[in-house]
Amino acid sequence: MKKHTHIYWLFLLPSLLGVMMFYIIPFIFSIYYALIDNLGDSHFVGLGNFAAALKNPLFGQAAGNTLLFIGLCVPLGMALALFLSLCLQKMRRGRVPATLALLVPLVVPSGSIVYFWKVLFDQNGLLRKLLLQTGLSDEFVFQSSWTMAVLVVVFLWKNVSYNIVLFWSGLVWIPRTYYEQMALEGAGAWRQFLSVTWVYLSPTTFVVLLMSVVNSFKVFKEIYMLYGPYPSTDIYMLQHYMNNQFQSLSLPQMCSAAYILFLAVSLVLLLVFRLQKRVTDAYQ
Amino acid sequence: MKTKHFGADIIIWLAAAVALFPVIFIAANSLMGQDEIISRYSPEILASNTGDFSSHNIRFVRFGLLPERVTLEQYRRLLLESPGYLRMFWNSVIIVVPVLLGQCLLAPLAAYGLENIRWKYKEAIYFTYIIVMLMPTQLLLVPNFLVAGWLNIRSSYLAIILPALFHPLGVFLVRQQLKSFPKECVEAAALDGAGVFRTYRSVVRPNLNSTVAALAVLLFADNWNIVDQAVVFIDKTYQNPLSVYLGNVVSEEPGMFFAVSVFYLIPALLVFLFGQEHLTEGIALSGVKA
Repeated sequence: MKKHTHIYWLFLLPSLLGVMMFYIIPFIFSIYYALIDNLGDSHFVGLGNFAAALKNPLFGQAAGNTLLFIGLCVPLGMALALFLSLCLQKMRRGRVPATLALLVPLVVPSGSIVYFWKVLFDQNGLLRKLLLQTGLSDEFVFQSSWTMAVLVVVFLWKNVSYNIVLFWSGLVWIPRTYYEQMALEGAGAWRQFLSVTWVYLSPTTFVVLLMSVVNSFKVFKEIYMLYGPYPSTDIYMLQHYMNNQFQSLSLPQMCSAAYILFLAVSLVLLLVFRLQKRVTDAYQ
Repeated sequence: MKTKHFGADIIIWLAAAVALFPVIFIAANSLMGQDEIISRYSPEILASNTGDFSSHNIRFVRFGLLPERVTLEQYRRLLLESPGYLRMFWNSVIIVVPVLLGQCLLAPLAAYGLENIRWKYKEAIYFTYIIVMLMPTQLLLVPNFLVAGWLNIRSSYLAIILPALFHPLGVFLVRQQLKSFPKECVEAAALDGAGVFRTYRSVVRPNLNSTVAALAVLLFADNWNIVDQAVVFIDKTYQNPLSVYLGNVVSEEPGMFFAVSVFYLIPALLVFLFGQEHLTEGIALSGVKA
């Protein structure tokens, strides 16, 4: 049978051609645009565009906001998902319908519930109303960090369930006998969590970390729905910066920004992969 | 010990309630009349809501799930008087259907091909797929945008559909599943004289049905909620998928928003209910050593 394996290229070919044509080749080609000054003269300017982007205060602001958002919602989302997946594991009955309900936000289009968030968080919203009615301070609604906090909540609502399922699928692989062994040795729940759950869940944890970072870039949808195409500078993200380059059709700026983003994301991915390898090697 | 389990149950059901609440809220509010919506949520003090709590000269929302008067007015206006919204709903369908059909046909083929070819760099191909899959949408839009320019399809739906159709997520999910596929089945089919294509069609592909169903749910959720791509490629309002325009409905026609939202949500929920048993499997699969 071995000699016929060439035929399998035919299976792969349509997909491979598509990926090459719509992603890889144009991305490689875009380095040409990243290195010229404009489409008219096409003067080679080396890393000039990259330097200009990095010096652009808007780019700095966008990068800062994006990092802040990732720094907030990735750890929060992971902790919440781990906690809920442990609860899910402890659940005796009704686990299937409960999981189903938890997964609903994943398929709800971001725009469908935008009014709900507005009713909750706007200047005349329910939250501020309750604060004023109970005589508490409503000052923080006017602070610049408020919109960022709203985004984190909206994002967690939509994305935590994905991580719950990932953690859950890791938890079911841990043999019960490990816990029984620990219980026999007199270890409490917290010790059991640290020495069994946490250790054997670490490969899953890295996958969750990876997917959380990837998913955190999808927050553009929510920002666009809640605050339109021109949000305040407090939540101006790299996605908006990229979008502005599309609108102004400035290919050199757009492509150089894309390469900066590509390098940054690759670096993060590399770091996560490395860390994962080191931890899994240590435990095996 | 018993109370502890009980605690976990309560926490999960609370979380489930939080997950469902916004959906229940819009469904309940879609049964209110236009006047009631405006009187409840407008920041201005109107004749109809003078009794409500106000402070600093703004009136606060009167949050509620029970309509004062149940009416299908919002739905009537949507279905009979708003061809624009129906058109945008149709635009969403036009984008989602080809992506779904194309992915469900090509992804299992490609994953099976990749699993079986013998070439020392084939894992490099797979690695490239994974890297593309992990990149943010706005970054992938740059190559998509360039190709769309070369092919002269920048203001057509093809600019959105074609890249989505070849997005590596499908190949990735199916290949994760194939890694645990019993080789004996394929060998048995080969011994029975089935050719490569015949084996794929009658042995391999039927066993991938649940993975393909999971893929379909994930892809539907993603592409029914398309925003980023449409913002870049679509310049005429009426050509937008409804997912993008819902943001405008809030400010332009708040009295109708809830019906439009529910209307747009229904297909997503149907696909979800139809494929829910496979969805968890699909997500879990994406986590098996990504």
